[in-house]
Amino acid sequence: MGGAQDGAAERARGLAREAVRQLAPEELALFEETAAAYFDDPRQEGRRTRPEPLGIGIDAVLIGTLTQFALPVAAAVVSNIATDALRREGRRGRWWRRSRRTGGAEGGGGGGGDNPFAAPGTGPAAVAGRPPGPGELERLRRIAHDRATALGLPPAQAQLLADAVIGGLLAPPAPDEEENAS
Amino acid sequence: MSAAPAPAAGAPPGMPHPFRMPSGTSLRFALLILSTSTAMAVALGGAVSTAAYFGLGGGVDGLADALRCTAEHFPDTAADPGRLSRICPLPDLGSGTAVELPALAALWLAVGAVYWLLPAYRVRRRRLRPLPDTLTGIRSTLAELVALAGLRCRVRFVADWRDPAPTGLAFGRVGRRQVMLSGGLLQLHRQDPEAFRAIVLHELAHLRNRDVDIAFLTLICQRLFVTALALPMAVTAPFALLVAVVLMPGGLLYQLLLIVTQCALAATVVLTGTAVLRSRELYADARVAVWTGGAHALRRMLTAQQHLDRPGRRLPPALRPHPAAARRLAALSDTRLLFGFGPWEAFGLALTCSLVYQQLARWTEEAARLGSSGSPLSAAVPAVLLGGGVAMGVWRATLAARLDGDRWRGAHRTGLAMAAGLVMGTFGDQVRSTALALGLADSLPVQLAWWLVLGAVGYGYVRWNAATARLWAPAVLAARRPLRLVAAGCAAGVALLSVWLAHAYAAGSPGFDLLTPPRPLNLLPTPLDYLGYVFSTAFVLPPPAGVLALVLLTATLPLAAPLAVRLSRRSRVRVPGTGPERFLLRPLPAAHAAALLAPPVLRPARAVVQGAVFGAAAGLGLWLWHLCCAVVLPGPIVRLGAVVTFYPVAFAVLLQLAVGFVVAWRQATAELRAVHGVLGTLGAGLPLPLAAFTARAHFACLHWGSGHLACRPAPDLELALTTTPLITVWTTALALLLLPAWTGLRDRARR
Repeated sequence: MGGAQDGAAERARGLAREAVRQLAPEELALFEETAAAYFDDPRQEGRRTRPEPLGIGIDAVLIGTLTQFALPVAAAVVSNIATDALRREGRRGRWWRRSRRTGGAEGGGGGGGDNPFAAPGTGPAAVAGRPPGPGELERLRRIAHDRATALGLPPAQAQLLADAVIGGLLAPPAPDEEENAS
Repeated sequence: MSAAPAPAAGAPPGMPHPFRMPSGTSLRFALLILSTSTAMAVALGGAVSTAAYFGLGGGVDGLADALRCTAEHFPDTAADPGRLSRICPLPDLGSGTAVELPALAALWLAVGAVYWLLPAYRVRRRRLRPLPDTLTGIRSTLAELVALAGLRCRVRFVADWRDPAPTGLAFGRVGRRQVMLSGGLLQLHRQDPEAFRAIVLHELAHLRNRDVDIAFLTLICQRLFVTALALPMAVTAPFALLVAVVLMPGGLLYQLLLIVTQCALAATVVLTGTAVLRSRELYADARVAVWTGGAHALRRMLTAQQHLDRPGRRLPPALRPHPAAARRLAALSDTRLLFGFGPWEAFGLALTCSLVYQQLARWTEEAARLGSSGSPLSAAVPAVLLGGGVAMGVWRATLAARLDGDRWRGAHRTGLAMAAGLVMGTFGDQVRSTALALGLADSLPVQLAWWLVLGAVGYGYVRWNAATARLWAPAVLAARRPLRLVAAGCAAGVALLSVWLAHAYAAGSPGFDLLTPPRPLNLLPTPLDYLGYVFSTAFVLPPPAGVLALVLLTATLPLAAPLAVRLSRRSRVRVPGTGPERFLLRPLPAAHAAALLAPPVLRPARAVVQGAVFGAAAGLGLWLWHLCCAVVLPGPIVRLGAVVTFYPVAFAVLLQLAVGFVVAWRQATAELRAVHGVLGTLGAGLPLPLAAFTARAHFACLHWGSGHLACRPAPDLELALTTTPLITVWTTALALLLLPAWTGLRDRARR
């Protein structure tokens, strides 16, 4: 499962980086460190940072960084894709087991791609996967938008971010991302 | 002392430099440590003793029987504690000190361990990462800011990339200081570089002010106190009351007082802790202002913050770890606000010290193996904590006012607050609570009289410090090592307070109503008999010569100020660069600086001579009155002499005080009126006791004839020489309390 999580994280990081590159390129300088800290412990995502009693005590200065929104939105989208793939693989697995019992030998592109021992949903198809259809894209865009607004982004900006993240799904991966993935 | 700071732009003349005198944070921190330590030690010690008692088979019945027996037999055996302990053997609850001091040690071990491990835990829990070297822009800015801060220690910057709020935090233990920069703050470097610099400088200022350890120890103390004492106390208090109601009705009052005391200490710990944190923020802001010549970016952020600080949105100001933005802005504009020492601080210090006085005195007595409970040494620890804190606060406020060409106007109210704190703290005294529970407490008039004595000690202490600081201010401002003078002044005050506190608390031991005072005290109505008793014990049992000399030296310390001013002026001529300019944010014109070094007008010789002349006149009047009475109407004096044998002493004291008031009243300027009045009292003490005794002797000669025992045609010089110094000294001590109170009230009425 660690490999799957790394793959999902890499994919989400790539989507978020692409969105930041499009919408706020000046934030790219600090993107990698922020993303590394974010994926270091994703369980922290929903938790609010406790106010520091020994901090400077000024909360009137607000920093509008896109990175802090792009990472969880991209993670939500990738997680949703993975969940869908898992569900599909589950259905296919049930059909495959049934066909094996009946002696059929149809298909074979399980969750692990060429590896028959891989768990369902861990292969590249589940995360990078094949390009989603228009209906699925719309659903993912809505998910991204909802996640962004839930994080406190205004609706117009949430829409922009959702578009950028979903656009990243369709675009070919950037050369440096390919290098990272390999 | 900071080195070569940049003067704050726009600071008006007379603004004191915030870092040329010890900060107020340390004062509040000392109070916090005191209240936490004592509360925890007593509570833990009590819990351990009780657990040991019940664990070894003790029962509630044994305790109840012992209390009942003590209440019954105490009036008959008050003078013989050994007999009382034989009749009513108390259950063995263990030695208090033997349990409490290890509890205290355990507490501080725990605090030390948490302090040591906390930085690593924080790095781990918050997943802080070292700031990468690849961020060259941020790195170079940070290097520039560290150089500006002039830090002697190495600072390691770590990042909390997940925190989107622009914030920082200075933390780490000694030698391993770290500054955390949040992800939001690092983004701010690009968006608003000035704000980034202001926030980082604020955190570096905490390191420079050396208040990081204070802040973390404060937090640790607060949390440890809440978890180890406040919560268990809140849970067990109702049960303790229930047990008292059902099994030991006599102990209900004791339990109630104990709970009230613990609540008061808990409130002190919480309020003092937040006061420490607020104080350090103000000083960090001030440091940024000194470094950057005004802290304009910080002001901009605080102005924006001001709109968020609407009342009702947050905790009450006294419970917040940060001061309100408006106050921070005000302190940035007016550094005099950092030097304020007001009634609340004095009240808190006095209340805490009074609540824990008996404990600290008992520990000191047992540690130093002191025989008597009235020794000044037994009051040394509370006097150092209370007296040191109050004296330092008064000196700071007085010096800041002096730099502004004014005088500190809070002495009267602060003195009253200290008196109130000392009095209120006696409700938490365990000896008194026990006496109350046993029905052996003194009557209300005696209690009120004792509170009067204790309050007078507190009030007089503040006034003495205010007068001393005002007189010594020019010497301090001109001295090469000004802090040494301030420390010496505070030490003298502490010595004086330890003598006063020891006497006052010894006089307040419960049981006066069980005593049969000797004649003529038994003829006086309550509480005059009690006050007479306190006064008499001071005469009959005068302190050792060393203590008396110490009291005299410290009480007359203000008079040495003109000499010190002259000496410091000479040394200033030899060493350039010393003077009042060091204590200000902006240089002063030469004339203004010279005015700051001018000593307040003090004419000690004139006041003493005036007092002696008025005293001689009053003595002559007393003598003539006695002669007239002997010839015309001897009855009143005969009756008075029969009731109060040493009535001339009382006459001498009252007339001395009256002369002191007249001398004070004759001072045209308001400056140092009380000091002149005290000196006048001293001067009047030279002729008045002799005149009073001679008047009585001559009355006897005229009324009863020359063969009467009391008749002495020539003045009794031997008696006068032995009693005059005592009467004069103690009347002057009384004047030290009464005259400043009178001048304070008079000044207030005029304003």
